[in-house]
Amino acid sequence: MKKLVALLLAILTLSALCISCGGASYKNDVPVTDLMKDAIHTVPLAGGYAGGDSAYRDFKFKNIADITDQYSISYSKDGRNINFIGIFHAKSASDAGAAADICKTFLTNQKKAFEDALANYNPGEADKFDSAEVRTFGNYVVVVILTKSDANKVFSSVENNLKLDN
Amino acid sequence: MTDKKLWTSLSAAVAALSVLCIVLLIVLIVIPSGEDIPTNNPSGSTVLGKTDDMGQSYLNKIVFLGDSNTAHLCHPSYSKIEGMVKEDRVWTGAGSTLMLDIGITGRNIVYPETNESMTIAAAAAKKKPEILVITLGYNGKDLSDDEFIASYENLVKAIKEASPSTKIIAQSLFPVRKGTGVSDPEKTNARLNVLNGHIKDIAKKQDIKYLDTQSILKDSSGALKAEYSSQGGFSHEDGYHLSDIGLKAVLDYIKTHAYVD
Repeated sequence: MKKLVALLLAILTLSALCISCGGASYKNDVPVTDLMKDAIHTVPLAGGYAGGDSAYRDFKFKNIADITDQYSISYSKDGRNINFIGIFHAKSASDAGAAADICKTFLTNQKKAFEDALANYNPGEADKFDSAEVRTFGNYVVVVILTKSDANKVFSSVENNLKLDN
Repeated sequence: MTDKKLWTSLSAAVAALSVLCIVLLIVLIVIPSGEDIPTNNPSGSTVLGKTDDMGQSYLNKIVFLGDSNTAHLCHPSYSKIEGMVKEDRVWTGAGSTLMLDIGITGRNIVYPETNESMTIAAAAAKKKPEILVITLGYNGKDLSDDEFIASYENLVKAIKEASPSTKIIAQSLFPVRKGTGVSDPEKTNARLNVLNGHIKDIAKKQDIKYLDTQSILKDSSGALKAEYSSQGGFSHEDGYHLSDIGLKAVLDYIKTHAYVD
């Protein structure tokens, strides 16, 4: 009985440690700019990517600046291509959840903007909203508007850079 | 002829001439001669007022930056404006469209003289156009007011920094009418009127000019006049693309509301 209780306590303690670390399976000290550099390397564009500045972040991701301490935004320079990658580092695990929600709102808004303005010109790009996704890796939140294949490349790149055994 | 008769004749001639001068003076002063058409727009005025028709030579000085309506200025299908705007004077994005949002200063246009892709600021630095007419924002009309204003202002500032000598004209957005791409023209035109107000305010704040072209494009209901709306072809009567008659009206307005010092 004592051993069982001890085992249960150990499991509980370990779980508590994992929760307080915000997902201890990922690093928490990798600059988002490094993550972005590797990520866009996996999905190069002929016209290249432009970097979104703080104004871009503030207009497209309302209030995310309050809960994150780093950001990196890349969008296609060619207006015919809607490729987008955003990487944010949240201040805490709970902030990561809130940041992910803001990123999901961004996707909804971008889809509407595309349908209103660009769908007639670039109908082939519309499918990227089907594979648009937000993923969280510890305190890092990644949002993409890419093909399914490119999205997987970017997520893999970020995850590989953040895994603790790297 | 005796001296007396000569003097009498001369006096009569002078008197007749004087009467004629007085009559002419009366005609010139009293009877209105029609609107005074200035040949310059006062430097303090943001909105470009009516001027003489500055003709094709004025249009030749302009680079036009915008979306698909701008791209159509040099499209071969638009026969009524053929030759008025050369291809190398039209700046737009790849695919002949350009969206206004907070990312516009990072996005590329196609620099027509070399077909290179570059930012608008880079193009302005390279070309240093004498006059640049911006017609942007229809693709972006659903942005928040704050984002629309910030996006437009950032663009103007970037161009001014890249080419300080360029005279920038912010042209109003054009009205729309019901069509395959416009389901509620009243709502859309109301929104466009708000945005035109913002564009005019930005023009004043950034010390550039505003061209109120929309004023001659709309009918009594505030919608785009039927004859100015694309009736088919690749624009498929969508309600927001202009016909060649409409684009001619735009160019005629530009020529008769010129930015001249």
